[in-house]
Amino acid sequence: MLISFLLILPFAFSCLMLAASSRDVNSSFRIGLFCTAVPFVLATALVMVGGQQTPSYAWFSVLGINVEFSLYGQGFSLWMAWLAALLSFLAYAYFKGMPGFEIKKFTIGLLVLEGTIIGAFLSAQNMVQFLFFFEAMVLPAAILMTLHGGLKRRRAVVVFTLYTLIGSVPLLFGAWYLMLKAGSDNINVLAETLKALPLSVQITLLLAFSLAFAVKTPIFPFHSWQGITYSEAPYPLSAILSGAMSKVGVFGFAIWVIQIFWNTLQTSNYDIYFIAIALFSMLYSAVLALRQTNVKKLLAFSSMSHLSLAVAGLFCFNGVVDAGVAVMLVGHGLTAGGLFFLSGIVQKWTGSTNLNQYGAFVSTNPIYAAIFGFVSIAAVSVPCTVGFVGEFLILQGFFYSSFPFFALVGGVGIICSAAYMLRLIKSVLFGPVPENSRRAGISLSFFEGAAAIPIILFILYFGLHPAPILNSFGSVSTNHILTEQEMQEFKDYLEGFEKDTLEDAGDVD
Amino acid sequence: MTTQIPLWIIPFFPLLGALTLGAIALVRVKSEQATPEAYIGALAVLFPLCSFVATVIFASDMPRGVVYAETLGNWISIGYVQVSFGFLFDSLSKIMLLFVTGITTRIVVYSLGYMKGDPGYTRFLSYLNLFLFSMIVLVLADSLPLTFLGWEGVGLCSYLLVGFWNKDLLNCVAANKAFLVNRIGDVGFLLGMFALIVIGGTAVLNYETLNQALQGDLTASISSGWLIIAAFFLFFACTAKSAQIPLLIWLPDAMAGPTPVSALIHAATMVTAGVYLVARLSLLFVSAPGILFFVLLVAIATALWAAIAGLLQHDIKKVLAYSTVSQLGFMFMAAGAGAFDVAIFHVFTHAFTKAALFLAAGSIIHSLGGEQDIRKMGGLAFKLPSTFIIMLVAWASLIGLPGLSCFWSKDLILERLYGFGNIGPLFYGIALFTALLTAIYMTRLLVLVFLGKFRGDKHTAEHIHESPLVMQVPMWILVIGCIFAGYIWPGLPDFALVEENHISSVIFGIIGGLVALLGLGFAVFYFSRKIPRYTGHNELVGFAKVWTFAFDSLHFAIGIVPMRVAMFILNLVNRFLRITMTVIGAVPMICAEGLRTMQANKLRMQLSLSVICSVLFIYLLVFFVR
Repeated sequence: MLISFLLILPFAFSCLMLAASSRDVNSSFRIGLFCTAVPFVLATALVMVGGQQTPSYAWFSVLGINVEFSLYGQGFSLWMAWLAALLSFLAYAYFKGMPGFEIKKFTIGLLVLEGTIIGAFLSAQNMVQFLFFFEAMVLPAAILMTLHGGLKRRRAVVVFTLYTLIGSVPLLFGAWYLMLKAGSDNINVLAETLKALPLSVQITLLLAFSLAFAVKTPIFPFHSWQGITYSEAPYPLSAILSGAMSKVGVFGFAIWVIQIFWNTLQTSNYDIYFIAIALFSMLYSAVLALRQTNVKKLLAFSSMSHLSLAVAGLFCFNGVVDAGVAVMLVGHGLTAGGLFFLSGIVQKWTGSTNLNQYGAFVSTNPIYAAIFGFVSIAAVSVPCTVGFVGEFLILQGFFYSSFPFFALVGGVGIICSAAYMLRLIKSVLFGPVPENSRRAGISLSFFEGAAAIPIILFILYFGLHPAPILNSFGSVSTNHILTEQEMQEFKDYLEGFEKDTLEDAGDVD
Repeated sequence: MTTQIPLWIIPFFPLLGALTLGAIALVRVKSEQATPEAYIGALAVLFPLCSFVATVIFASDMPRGVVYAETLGNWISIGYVQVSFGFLFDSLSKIMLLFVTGITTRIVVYSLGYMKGDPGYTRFLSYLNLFLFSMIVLVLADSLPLTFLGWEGVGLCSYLLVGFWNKDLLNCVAANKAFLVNRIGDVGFLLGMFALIVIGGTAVLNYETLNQALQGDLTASISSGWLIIAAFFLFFACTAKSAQIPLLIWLPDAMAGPTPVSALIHAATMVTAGVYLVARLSLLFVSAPGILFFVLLVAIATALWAAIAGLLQHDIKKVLAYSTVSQLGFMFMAAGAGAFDVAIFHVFTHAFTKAALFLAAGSIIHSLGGEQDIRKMGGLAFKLPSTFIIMLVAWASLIGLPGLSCFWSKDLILERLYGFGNIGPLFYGIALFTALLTAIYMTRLLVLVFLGKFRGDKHTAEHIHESPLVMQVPMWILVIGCIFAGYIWPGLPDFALVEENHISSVIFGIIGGLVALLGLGFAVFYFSRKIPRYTGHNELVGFAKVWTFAFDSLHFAIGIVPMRVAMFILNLVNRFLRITMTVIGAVPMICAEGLRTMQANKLRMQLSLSVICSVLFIYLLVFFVR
């Protein structure tokens, strides 16, 4: 019930917003704020009841494929949907201060975008439904970009739309092929059908599926659309794109690649290539982030770096790491979203996206500096913040798998992430005010300040108490790479160890 | 016998302080009135003091051999990863906490005078409280992940405080360097923890469980390879935090921060966290074969290198910084020789001594209006008598004049080194030589600053004044520590792990004392005649530059150069990808453009095309269906 409303309400509200006035900005804003707040409240309620899922309803049947419809809100899906709802709400609250926004159109676009993203996250059971939302979310994003984007927005829209849509063509064909074979679009049936196909077909399908998600995330070498898209999109949209929409790619890997191609990956040993590419992508984007002077491009590469690590973690096939990936994605959504919001404020003040035009905000606006400093330090994943829990769980997964070397590579990526974040902090907050730098209306508005509070609170809360996210993964299966026998030995060893400890304690008494 | 007060109260006070002061600093941003420094100062001192008092209560209640442990709750709990928040108060954390809270309280009092009138007064005090919180968590944690929380916390505070005067970008660069180098070490910490997880699951991240496991038959059942990896990476983390080779390059630069910060974080407390960690994991280091010897080698090389570098500096704080690096080397020497208790003893005595030295240096800098170059000082003994006496006592303690606190610990370190296997005497010789160098560079500092004639400009000379009482009192208290800290020690330790093998401590004491006197005599004789001239610029030249920046050059060669090359290559790759995308994208664009010309205005052509196509389509359909 709750979960159906979570999907329906954004669309329903976007229809309602058609009736809102485009002249009376304040009342439209209040209505819009309510419309984005309600899905967030619903998502939070859903999280608090521990997730829901609906049974499968027969939807339609075509060419012998029985298409079903179901909503799945557990684990990954649940938390990603929550994140999308939160970021949409914050993006809306925060954008109040942005100049030149057409409030009615923006609200409608944002609500539709939110609905499609949430829809994609809640479709972890049925392929057709997932594909629908997966493709659909490109359109509202493109429209929002056309409405409010930067100077080169036409080109950005074309690049973004074409690249992501073309990237998902192989996925469409692959999915159709598999569904025709299976006669159903249910994920479990698909996975079973796939096992019967020859290995070469399995691998072709695997690559077709992966391509679409690698474009969406993005992962090297399919990231060329990202720089121009993030930098030309308006800040609230960039925040949603990097904070929520990019996670559809990771989500696709977690659900549609790994669950379906489980056996393929095991038998062909392609998992190591996935990890290698993803880790290379992490280092690649971290190194490139170091040399960006455009704040949005820097954030885009930083986002890509974090998400690549998350994708690499997924291919460890370790339940603990999966939960860690979810924590990391939530953390990344909060920090990346937050940083896009905050750099949007700086752009408003200085009229520039160039880092060389920033500086000295710690003395001109200490409150802003405190928020910015906190969020960017959280992006470095220091302990106490949510990012640390995620990175800890992922990196230990590498070490625990059969290739401990990857943990070292991940470590290098972490060092790089500290390097570019410190550079960002230094050029935004510290130093003298640069010459020729425009400074206008340097004070945080109420909504800009208020939007930062939930970000900070959630970063700290999940950093100290990640249990809500971790528990939604239930009792995870532990390391799949260990064989059953090894697992048993490990358990026996631990039990014996505990017994020894107890005996020791007894001796002391 | 139990205490009713929970352990978390100790870190709670400074956390509260940090939050309160931080909130005040933020709220008062727009305020036109001057900062009520007396009120804020009192608040800033109150919280560390409460923490100190709580520690003293715990420490005095605690009988020997008893350990207080307290688990607050789960932190990360999923599958085989079970990490909880918990505190452990045993003799090691007791000693660390006593001097950490004690010295912090005094240095906060000192800062009230030093930072008076600074626009960031409240913020500074808030950071100091936050630092104390992190340091307490580091020391009091019962497991490696929680220690890591404190470990990163102190690193963060160090970053914030080194770059405290952030208008000057050079300070920010120094702060970034400190954070980044520490981050490299932190990755080592993480990897060390992961190696331990491989050995025995997350349970062994807990110190008590780890020690029990290592004492039990665990060591037999697992390959020593993982133990070595774990110990190696954890020591690697220590080389960053405690400024040892190869990650020591950040500490001298970190002197860009205000002097109380240098005294507190970069001399007395934070930099000793590495020694603490090695002592805390002593069983692991003993169990992993070969690692202790490696620690010893690194420590001796660091101590010697830094002592020579200390001899070449002109900046008073840099001299003390390299001296700190060298003394940290001594502490690791003791740890490497298996004498972990002696290492902590030296941490303890050195904390008082070096804090006093730095605070006295801060007092000098304060009274000279920011001058730090010792070539422009001289003759200050009679102008700043109180500071002179403080500096004199701390100096005498550091070079190891018999009877003062550092003498005892240094003497013990040398003695243990001598007893370390067959090559012990060789290491002893090197360490003794380093001690001689210590005496020389410290005496050089003393002579150049306090004796002879004042070499600065007249304007500065007229304004020399003794620092206010609020700065004097903490220094005098620390001086008491410099003198007596060596005597109260024998009552404290009960975690000695290695059997002592006394040869004859009196002889070692005499040799150590003689070496100190020799260095003292030489330096007084040499430097009171040959006073280096101020050459007009602060940079080092020639050999001094090569020696001092040896490791910076190394890092440049193996870290920054490859990074730049990678940046260049990857940028080319990125360009190539972007061009590919544009080219591929252009094909449909051009096609579309071509098609649009057909479509735009030529209605007749469109119609005929559609008719032709429809006919073709129907024909094909019929053809194939049939």
